[in-house]
Amino acid sequence: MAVLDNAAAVPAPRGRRIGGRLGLLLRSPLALTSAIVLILLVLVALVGAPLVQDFANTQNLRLRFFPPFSLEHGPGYILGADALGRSVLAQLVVGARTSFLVAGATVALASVVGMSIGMVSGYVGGIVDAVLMRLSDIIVTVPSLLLALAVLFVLEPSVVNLVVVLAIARLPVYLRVSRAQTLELRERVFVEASRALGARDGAIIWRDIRPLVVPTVVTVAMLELASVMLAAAGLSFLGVGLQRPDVDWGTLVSEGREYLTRAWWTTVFPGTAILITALSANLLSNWMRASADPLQAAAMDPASTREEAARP
Amino acid sequence: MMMQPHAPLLTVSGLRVRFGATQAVRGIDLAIAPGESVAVLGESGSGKSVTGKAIMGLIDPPGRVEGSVTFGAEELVGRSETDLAAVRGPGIAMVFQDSLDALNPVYSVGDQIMEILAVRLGWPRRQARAEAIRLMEQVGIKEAGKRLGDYPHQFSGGMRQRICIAMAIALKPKLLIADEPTTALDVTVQAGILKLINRLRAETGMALLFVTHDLAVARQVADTLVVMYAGRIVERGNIDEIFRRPAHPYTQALLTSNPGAVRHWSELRPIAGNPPDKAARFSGCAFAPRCPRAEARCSAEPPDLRRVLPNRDSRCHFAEEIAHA
Repeated sequence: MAVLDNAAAVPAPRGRRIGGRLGLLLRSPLALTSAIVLILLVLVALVGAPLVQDFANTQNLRLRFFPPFSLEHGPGYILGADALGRSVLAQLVVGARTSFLVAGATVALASVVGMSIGMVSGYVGGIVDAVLMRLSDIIVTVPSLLLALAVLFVLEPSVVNLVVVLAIARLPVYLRVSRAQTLELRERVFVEASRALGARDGAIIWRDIRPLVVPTVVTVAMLELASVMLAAAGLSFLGVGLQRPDVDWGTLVSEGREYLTRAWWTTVFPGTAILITALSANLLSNWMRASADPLQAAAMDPASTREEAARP
Repeated sequence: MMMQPHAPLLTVSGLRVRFGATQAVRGIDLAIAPGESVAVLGESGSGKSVTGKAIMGLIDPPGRVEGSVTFGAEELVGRSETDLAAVRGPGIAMVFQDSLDALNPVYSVGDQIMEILAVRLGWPRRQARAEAIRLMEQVGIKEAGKRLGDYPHQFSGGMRQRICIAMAIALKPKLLIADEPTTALDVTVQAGILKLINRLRAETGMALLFVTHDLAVARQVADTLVVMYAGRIVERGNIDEIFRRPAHPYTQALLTSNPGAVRHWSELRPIAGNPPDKAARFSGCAFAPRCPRAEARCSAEPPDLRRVLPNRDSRCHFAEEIAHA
């Protein structure tokens, strides 16, 4: 029974891992700041948007191009007003919800589907790989904006259609990244060792390959957030994306563009919002990738003395 | 150790492995009885590792495997990956040379051992955990309960190899294929691993196919020695007898080129020349260009693997002469 006593003295590995990662996050100021910024933005989008929805769509032509940083007309207009006298701040809050929804759903859909196909393609190889990769080539060759334009012209422009079209256009990015990494991983000895222990192909992809592909795909996905926000804006601009009263940050940027010389704030603030989101997402994903690797995580953790245990 | 001398555990006959024009294995016959320990010895590129992988069915296209591998009553060549998966683990298990890369870096070693038990035997977590600790202790890892949650990079090379062995024996295989398991380790650690393999074999009664390029290592673990050259078996027999009296010029050359076997470096006789091109076709003996004993006949007429002494096969026209010299 000594064996069982011994086992009970050790905390469950999973719990230790999550607690350890939280501790690591607290020690990394850059990653911690990014995480806080992202959580705040999501909270604003979830809680704030329903509250200021009506205010955001209220036009007040007397406040047309009202400049920012003035409390003359209350805190609602602190970031100024646009060409129709709508509050930029309120529109940013409402736009956050749509932007997060569209970009988040698109990136999630594209990365999960792209990664799954990429891993299967890379692992199975042969004709399956060839067919899937040529399909991905075709998607790359067709300009994504043109594809989206054609599809959304035929279908009705809605959030769901927008997400699906953007996700298909961005699919090859994830497909290629995960396939390339799978090609490398499947030659590793631990994959062969798993096969030698009788693991099935599906189990090898899920247990051995996926955990090493996910961090890379997450990093790529975070980079993609900003470009998807801008692509959605481009479609809105062409009239097949989201239409008023739905508004997202990209729409605000493209609308404000016309008045850039007269009212810079209508473009700069939504643009800054996209920048801050993308930057935080990138910094956080970079940290996540490093901490998902046990070797790098150990190096990041100054309190760790487990390296000592490595010596025989 | 031969419990049923007439029912070999593993029978390999006419095994050939090709990668395009490269012929890695050019026809091998081999039988391993239950509990027997066989060492396959050869220099780099002799096809010894490929033989091990081919037995496990781990040769992927474009590699092609011909011939027959029978395990128990089952033919393994040409079987589907699903059928092979059932044999791998409880039937045949394998330990690899590169112990650093043989463990998945993102899971703790305990998770990796427990996963095998959970997936293959359907054991609940608690039971798998206790068994994982027992296995780690069996392969000589101290404080196994504490080290269960450690990741592969937190272990030394020798310890990692022990964990690989623990994983390989988790399903109690009847045959363990060890592909140069000690090559990447230093000599003191190597001795520990060899002792461990011998102890496990005594405890479990499993058969062993030990692939190595090191004569001294082969002698510590094996009863039977198979010497390979250019994808073929050139000599086969009891390991101590071969050491005493080799019956093939290549084996003889290996023995005199081994630094551990001679008293002074000036007695070392490195084998002249290089192993032949693996795409080449031979009209005669593959070793003839490097052989000190070669005659005109050797490059014209290919020798067969034949019985030259009791319990000894050799692929040389002059085997008797060499054995009795």
